[in-house]
Amino acid sequence: MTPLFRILFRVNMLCLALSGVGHMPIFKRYYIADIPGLAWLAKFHITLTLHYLTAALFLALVAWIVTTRWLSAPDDRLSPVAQVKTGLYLAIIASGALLVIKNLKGIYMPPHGITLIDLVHLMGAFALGLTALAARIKRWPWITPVH
Amino acid sequence: MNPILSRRTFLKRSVLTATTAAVATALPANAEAADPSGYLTTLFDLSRCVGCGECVTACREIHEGDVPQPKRPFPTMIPARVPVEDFSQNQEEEERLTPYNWLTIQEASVEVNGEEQTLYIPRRCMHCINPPCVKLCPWGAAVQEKNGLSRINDALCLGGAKCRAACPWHIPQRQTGVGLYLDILPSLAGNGVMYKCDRCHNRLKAGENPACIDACPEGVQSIGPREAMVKKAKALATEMNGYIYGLDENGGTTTLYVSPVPFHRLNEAIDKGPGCPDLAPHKNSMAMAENVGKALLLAPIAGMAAAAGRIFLTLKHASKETP
Ligand code: SF4
Ligand code: SF4
Ligand code: SF4
Repeated sequence: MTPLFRILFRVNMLCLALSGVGHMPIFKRYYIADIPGLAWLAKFHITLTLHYLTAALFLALVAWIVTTRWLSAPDDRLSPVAQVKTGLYLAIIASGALLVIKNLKGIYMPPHGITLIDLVHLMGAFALGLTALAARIKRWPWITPVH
Repeated sequence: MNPILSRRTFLKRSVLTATTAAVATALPANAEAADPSGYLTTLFDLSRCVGCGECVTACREIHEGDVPQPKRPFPTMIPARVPVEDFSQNQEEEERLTPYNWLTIQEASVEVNGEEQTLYIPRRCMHCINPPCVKLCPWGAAVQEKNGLSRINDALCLGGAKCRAACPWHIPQRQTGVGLYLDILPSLAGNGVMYKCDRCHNRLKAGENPACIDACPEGVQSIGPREAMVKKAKALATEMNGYIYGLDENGGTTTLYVSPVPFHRLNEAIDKGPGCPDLAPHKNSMAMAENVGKALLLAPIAGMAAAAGRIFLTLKHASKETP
């Protein structure tokens, strides 16, 4: 991963998380949308559009990393924390994909299914944030060499 | 790039990658479950409505047990600017949509064939084909059933009112002091429950018509699959030289109004405001999610292809350099 790729990935993750939290009606309630320049956070159609666009870039970047790693078969492996993160990413991506499908016209999904998917997506993102923060503080790496 | 990766490994893995990509594209196609042309649709022939209000009374009676019973005093809201919305002191109000009144009659004094006339327009949820109130609800509290109707689950709704903001007609109405939020963090999150017409889903499940349809002495409403009702609306409009509302509004709704007067004139003549929806043209508010949504599912394939392409080029380059 080049430094530029890393920056792009992180900035995109920030926008993805912000627009995601914006799906809940809390930015307006808690005055955050009153901060000059942040009014858009309370506009649902804007946060939804931004979430879709940043999700598209996120998926393309993840697919790039996964494909590159898979095809180049490096002789190292994912650290334990990276395995946890990968699992959380998978849960977030799978639930996100289902939510995108749900939003298309003419789709029926059972109500409790939707609530479950919503919770997996939200809690998954929350857990990923916490794991990433812990990994940052403890300086746990993504990759460990195979001995 | 691992220099020991052989072309054979690369090829094998490329095939696997391509298969995964193909499966990822095929999945959403299989998730198509409902056909909007079959969605249950109601048609209002506005030339017949006399504004007697029987439908409103019937709706209130049938939903007597479904309206809010708020607990007092309401929790203190933090921050204090969070509005308390309380209709419980004014449950008899019929001039607008409220948590206690899911159907209201609007009046429009207009000229029809050179004569001043009053048209009455029964208003409630339009039951959009792709309802933003349902799709944008962050908890899955608003649901769409297989037959296309949408309703709000009062056991799950937290009253954030996002559905009202997302609805082009701002139909759902909030009552503070009821619902799940009282059991979680009542001061900090949520603000009651949203209420709106549920198309009498319980009656439909029992094989009956919605109460407002059966109660009408003038036979204003009819109900059936959307395709057939669209045909019927078009025939009726041709017959009365009239106009249709709901064919394309917000991407199409499963409520169709046929009127002898253009809807922009009715829209000018009716009272509009909170609980009094307009009759303006509305673009499909789910268009972005419908269009970008399909493209979004292709994004990982673009990433995969780009990475595979780059590796292929690197390999080619390397094989040229080794004699
Ligand atoms: S009219 Fe409003 S409340 Fe009714 S289905 Fe459409 S978006 Fe939802
Ligand atoms: S369909 Fe049922 S809930 Fe909706 S307005 Fe008619 S009577 Fe009321
Ligand atoms: S009962 Fe029929 S005629 Fe009377 S107000 Fe309702 S729709 Fe109009």
